[in-house]
Amino acid sequence: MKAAARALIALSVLNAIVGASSCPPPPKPGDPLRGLAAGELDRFRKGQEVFERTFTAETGLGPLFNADACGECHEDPVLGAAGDEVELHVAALRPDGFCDPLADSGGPVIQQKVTPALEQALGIDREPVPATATGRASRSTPSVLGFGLLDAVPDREILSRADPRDRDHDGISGRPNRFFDGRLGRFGRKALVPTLREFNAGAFTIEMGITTPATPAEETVAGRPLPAGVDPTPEPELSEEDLGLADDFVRFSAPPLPLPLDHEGERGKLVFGSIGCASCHTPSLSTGQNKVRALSYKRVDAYTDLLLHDMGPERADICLGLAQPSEFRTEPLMGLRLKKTFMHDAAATTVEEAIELHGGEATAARNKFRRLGPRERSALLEFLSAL
Amino acid sequence: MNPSPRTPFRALATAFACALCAATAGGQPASPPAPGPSQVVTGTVCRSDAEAGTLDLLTGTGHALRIIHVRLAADVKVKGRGATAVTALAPGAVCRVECSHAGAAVTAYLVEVLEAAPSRSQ
Repeated sequence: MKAAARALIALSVLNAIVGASSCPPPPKPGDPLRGLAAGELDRFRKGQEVFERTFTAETGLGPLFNADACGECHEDPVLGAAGDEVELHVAALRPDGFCDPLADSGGPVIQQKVTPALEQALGIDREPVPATATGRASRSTPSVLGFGLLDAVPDREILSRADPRDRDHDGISGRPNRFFDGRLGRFGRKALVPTLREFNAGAFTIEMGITTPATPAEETVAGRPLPAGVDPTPEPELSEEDLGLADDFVRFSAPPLPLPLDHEGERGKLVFGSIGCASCHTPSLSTGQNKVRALSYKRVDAYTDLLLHDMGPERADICLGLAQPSEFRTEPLMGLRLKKTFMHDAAATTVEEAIELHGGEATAARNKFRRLGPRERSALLEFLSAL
Repeated sequence: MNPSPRTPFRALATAFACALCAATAGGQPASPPAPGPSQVVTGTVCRSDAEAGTLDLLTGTGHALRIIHVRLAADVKVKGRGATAVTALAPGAVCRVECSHAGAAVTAYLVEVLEAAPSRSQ
């Protein structure tokens, strides 16, 4: 009897050990991806420190900036998630039809804060808006959780869903944006930026005024060079190592996993597809081969096609690259339940409001949403609240 | 991952500057540097002035966008997408520009049009 009991206990312990190692709990929001190597996990931890580091003028902040740390904006409910800050972007749609992001006069991101030294030198408390701007845009802080997986999606996967001339006559066109050197874009609300590395490096400079080896020049003040003495820190203000660590923190962050669906949620998922939401909010994308095993050949339930879609004239703000003022990249819905505001400009405070703000190519889906009965509507919202 | 285009460019520019210094050092008579592939920049034409022989090229990293002011060499070659002349360098065209640096001045001696400017007919 005793031997049998011992064997049973030993088996239970073994089962617990094997079970724990073979089936770890799913990542919580803010956790690293499962399956990272020890060195990658170490870089995630060290990168987290850079991501939440508060910069000062002495360590490179400004002279123009929107925030003094990545984590000042990407913070709610965990580091790397969304935030309540809304910033200002500008562009000019010129008479010759060219979309000018006003890079030589301070655009496209207009910084809302300045260091005391710059305020004293120029008597300004924010960057002036260029007089030539024809459009202004509000941009909320996106969650960057899971962006490493989006970065690992091959171009061909994105381009395979493009239908710029709507050849299948479903009313959904979807077209790619391209960076100024011709590469396919995917990051940013207008899908301008091709890679996560560039998205992150550029953000240090435009959001915090921190120069990096990839972005060694400071922002100008509406196109004018900085006055002497206001930026004493030598460039680059962030080392290659720290830039790489911050990049790896974002790259190795796990996307918030959807909550398990009950019967109503499953029904809502079907409604999501049947009324046409999934035509743009593609439920899942696949990554390609990647040197990071945790990013290689993975499915990411991002609910985006990373393409531009016309959202209608009511939402139109600025052009950027090939994107027209009314065109926006399909917003990823992963982690939707963690957000407090919705849409690229934080114009909605509930998911229902956000759906109501869809126009253009999404008009048919929005109208079908309006016609849903109470049970279908409730099921759809139940599904969305689990993302 | 696509590496940032700037780092190799800076290395090339530094190498070019060093080569230039070496060539002009030691009391050698100064002569204009022979145009070589000192730097390659790919960007979108933001403004062009065929008469003045200048080009503003839009490039950058992420949303940190920058304009590179390029002077076109008198004998600049223009090719690609049917383009043969500077007049083809319309705003919106994506171009690969081979240029040389002298201080802040950037002089292009070859411009390859990779994508023609989008049609503005609509």
